[in-house]
Amino acid sequence: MVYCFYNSLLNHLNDKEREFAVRKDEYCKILINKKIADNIYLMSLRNSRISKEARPGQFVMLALHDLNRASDPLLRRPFSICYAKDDVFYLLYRVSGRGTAIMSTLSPHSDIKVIGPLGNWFSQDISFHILVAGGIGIAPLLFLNARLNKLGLSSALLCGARSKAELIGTSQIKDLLQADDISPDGAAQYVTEDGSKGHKGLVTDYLMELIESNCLPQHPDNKIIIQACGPMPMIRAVRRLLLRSRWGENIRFEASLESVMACGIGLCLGCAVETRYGHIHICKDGPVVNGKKLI
Amino acid sequence: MDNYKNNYNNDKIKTDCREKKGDNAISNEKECEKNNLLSTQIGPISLPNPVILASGTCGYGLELIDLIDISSIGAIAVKGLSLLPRVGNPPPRIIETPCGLLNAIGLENVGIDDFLKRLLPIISSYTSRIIINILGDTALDYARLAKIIEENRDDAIIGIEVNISCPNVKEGGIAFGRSSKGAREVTGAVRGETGLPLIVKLSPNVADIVEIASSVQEAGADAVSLINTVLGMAIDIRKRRSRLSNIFGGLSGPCIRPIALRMVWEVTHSLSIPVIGVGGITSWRDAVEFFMAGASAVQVGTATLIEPDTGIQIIKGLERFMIKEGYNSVKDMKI
Ligand SMILES: Cc1cc2nc3c(=O)[nH]c(=O)nc-3n(C[C@H](O)[C@H](O)[C@H](O)COP(=O)(O)OP(=O)(O)OC[C@H]3O[C@@H](n4cnc5c(N)ncnc54)[C@H](O)[C@@H]3O)c2cc1C
Ligand SMILES: Cc1cc2nc3c(=O)[nH]c(=O)nc-3n(C[C@H](O)[C@H](O)[C@H](O)COP(=O)(O)O)c2cc1C
Ligand code: FES
Repeated sequence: MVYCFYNSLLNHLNDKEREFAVRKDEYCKILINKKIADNIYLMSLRNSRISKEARPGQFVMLALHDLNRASDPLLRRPFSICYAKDDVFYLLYRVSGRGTAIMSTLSPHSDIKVIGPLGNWFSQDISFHILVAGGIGIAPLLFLNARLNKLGLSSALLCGARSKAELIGTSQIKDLLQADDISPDGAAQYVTEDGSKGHKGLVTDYLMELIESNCLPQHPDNKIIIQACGPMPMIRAVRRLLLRSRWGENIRFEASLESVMACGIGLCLGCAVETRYGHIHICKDGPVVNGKKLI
Repeated sequence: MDNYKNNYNNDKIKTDCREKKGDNAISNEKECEKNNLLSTQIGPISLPNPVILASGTCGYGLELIDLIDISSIGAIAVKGLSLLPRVGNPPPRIIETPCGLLNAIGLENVGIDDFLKRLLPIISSYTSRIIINILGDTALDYARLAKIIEENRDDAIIGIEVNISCPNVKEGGIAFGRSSKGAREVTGAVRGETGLPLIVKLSPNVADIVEIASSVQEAGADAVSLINTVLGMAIDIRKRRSRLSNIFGGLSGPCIRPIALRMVWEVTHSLSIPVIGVGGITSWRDAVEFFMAGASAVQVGTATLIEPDTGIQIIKGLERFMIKEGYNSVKDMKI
């Protein structure tokens, strides 16, 4: 059940079942735009359509050039939806360049143009979900974590970062958003490379321990899925680990990928990523892909 | 409005509109009356308005249908098609530069057969004006493509646009469009196989654009579109390598507009062949500049990637401007 607007149209010919979501380009009012950690900001935007339709894993394209069609910065920027409630949706972003620097200066009450929700989403129907976040990759996984909690599906949330300063605590966001469905800090596992908070090491090492320990439900009827978002080396490490592990074959793996995007809506073919299936386009065939098929 | 009535193409447009699928034929007809002012002739091609979505920036048209009404756009030029499907270049393929976009997509496409059989029937239920952009490795490839399109003629195909910015495999990979000889060869090969309106899309990476335009005119082109992307590059100074896997890329967007405008002017002021202006157009004001330089129509590329409704906004803005300034057709704007 991969969402893809374009493919759904093509499937139409094969008379297959397909799902449509309507994409629109709309002005959204910024409600909050607030620094919550080193270089990390939380932005909330009002749009009931996006908020209602969005599913964990999906993203939006944000226009950062000024509204009278000035051309700088030229391209829109993609951001995962990190939570949605009522008529508001949230973005969690790290300032990493010019566009995100401009974004961090936008004041509440201003309107920005947003196309969304875009792309496909994470599965939410497995008996046990392991969510693996690297740095800002926590964004779509917070949303997933909330939805899984709501559905009553069990999950483990593993958050990795270089150090405590770069770690984003779930409780902090839970409080800011008044989101009952996000797991509190106590329910998440933190891993820092320097050991300044939680376990010391790489989040993937911790994941390995978790898989190899007998803490996971081992019953064959209990299906397990790893859902990861973070830097590419982390995603690749998870894939390698699954290939090596004796449990690997029974564990599914979904990864949310990034790619530079000019349009985010399937027009430019700029967002291609190589996989074992050949090139796929992250904005329409992703961002969530079968992690085992990566190269 | 009556003052501006231009009967030039009226009947054809009305028929076009009636043919449009869907049950809003009557409102379409009204729409067309209003658009008389904008109706445009590019050689043998009649359009209700002079705004075309540029190849490679509107997918195959399908990707836009939930975002804009593509039937109200003059025409759409689909992503460049080759004889066989192409996978394109490895990533990264896109780099943002100041007011510009550097791309090295590598001509990824589904191939002409898949397009004609599978996609065209769907797209033609949304718009009745499709321009097929083609590309090949040899002149023979182009001829074969033209033949296939000719054999599969469909009312919605209103023309072929030939992308001559592709490397000529037989001539050591130098783009056909970089020499008069290459440009003439490809144009002649396509002309030999089809009676469809033929647009040749010129590369700006040449010393004398007029010379190239003149050679494709002689070889039988009905119109030229210019410009394709400007060859460029960007280097990652930490990694000490090009930011694009392909090393070079094609620059598009507002930063190339002055180059495009100058080249359009050069061609329209030396030759009689109709010119479609392309390059960095983001608003109706930009489009007006191209009409003043003598363009018969314009194409919108990169701007659609950022604001999908740019084409629609340009059509609206253009009409307002023409009414206000008393122009009867875009041709009148030429200075
Ligand atoms: C599907 C998707 C979801 C994302 N979700 C989030 C999120 O929730 N939070 C967050 O902080 N970041 C997220 N990103 C990354 C975010 O888009 C980039 O950090 C942002 O575009 C950087 O813009 P800039 O102008 O600050 O950086 P610059 O380096 O100045 O940007 C230059 C160009 O490169 C592109 N670019 C730079 N870094 C990235 C990157 N990592 N991925 C894709 N394109 C990039 C920009 O979009 C722009 O076109 C996501 C990316 C994708 C593809
Ligand atoms: C991502 C991308 C893909 C393109 N693909 C094609 C193509 O397949 N065939 C073609 O003739 N031109 C292609 N072009 C060139 C555009 O059609 C246009 O000529 C150029 O981008 C300049 O116009 P603009 O500044 O409005 O984008 C492409 C441009 C971009 C940005
Ligand atoms: S970003 Fe343009 S097609 Fe994916």
